[in-house]
Amino acid sequence: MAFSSDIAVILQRERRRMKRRSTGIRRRIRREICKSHEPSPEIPFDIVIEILTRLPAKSLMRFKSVSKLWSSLICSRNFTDRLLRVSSSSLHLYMTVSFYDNKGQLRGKLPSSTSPPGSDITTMSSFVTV
Amino acid sequence: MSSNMIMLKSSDGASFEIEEAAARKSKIIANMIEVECVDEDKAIPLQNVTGNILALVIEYCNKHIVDDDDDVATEEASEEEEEAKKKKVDDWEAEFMNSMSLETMFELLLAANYLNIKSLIDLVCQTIANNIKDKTPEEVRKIFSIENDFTPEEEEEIRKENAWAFG
Repeated sequence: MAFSSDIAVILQRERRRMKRRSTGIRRRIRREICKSHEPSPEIPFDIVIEILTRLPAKSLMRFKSVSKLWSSLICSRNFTDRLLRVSSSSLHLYMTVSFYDNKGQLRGKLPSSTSPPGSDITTMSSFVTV
Repeated sequence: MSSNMIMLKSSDGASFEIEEAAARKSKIIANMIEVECVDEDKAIPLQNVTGNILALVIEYCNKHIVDDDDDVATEEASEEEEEAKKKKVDDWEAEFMNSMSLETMFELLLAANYLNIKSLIDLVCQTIANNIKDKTPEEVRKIFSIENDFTPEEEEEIRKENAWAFG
C-alpha cells in the first residue's frame, strides 16, 4: 500500500537509530554507573505518533522544527490521514440539501451520508418535473 | 460476574491482587487467561512495570470495570443518565491525571502500551498532548530527549515557513 509506505520507511529508520542510540546510552550508563539519576524512559516512536495525532494543527506546525524525523512525520501523507481519522471520530459535519418546488414546499432532503440512493433519485426527478 | 482474583507482580517485586474482570482490561492479561497460562497460586510477573506505576494501572482498571458493569445493568438508561455517567468518568479521569508529573505520565503510557490497555493509552496520550501543545520546540526536544539534527540554517528556514505557529 503506497499509503503506509512512507511511514514504514520512517519507522524503520527510527528503529535503527534508536538501536544505535540505546547501545550508546548503555555505554554511557556503564560509564556513569555511580550516578543515581535514572535516564527517562525511551518512548517508542509509534507512541510518539499517537501523542502527535492528538495535537492541534498550530502545535504541529511549530513542532516541525523539533527534528528532521518529526518534520517528515508531520508532513507525511499517512500522518495527515490519521489526523483526520482521530479528529473525525469526535467531530462530524452533517449536511443536507433540501429541494423546494416553486410554491416553496419542501419536496425532499438529500443527506450527505447514509442516504438510500434510490429515494434521492426519485426526489430529484420529481423536483425536475415540477 | 466472576470475582476470581489474579496476582500481578511488578518488576521491583511488589505483588498486587486484582479482580479478573479488571485485569481483563489488559489485552495481554486477557489473552493469558484465555489460553489458561494463569496459575491461580502464582503471580503474573510484569518485567517492564514498576510497583508505583502498576498501582496506577490497577486503580484505573478497577475504576473502569465498575463503569462497564453499570452499562450492562442499565441498558435502558436515558440520555441524561448516560451523559451524567460519562461526566462522572471524565471527572474521575481528569482528577486521576491531574497530579501526575510528565515523567510519570510517560511511564504510565509505556505500561499501558506494554499491557495493551487501549483506553488508558488514549487517555494518557491526550493528557500529554494537552500538556505539550503550547511548548516550544526546544522544550519538546528536552521532554522526548530528541537531538536537534537541523543545521541552524535549516531550522531558521523551517521556522520561517511556519512563523504563524510561533505567535
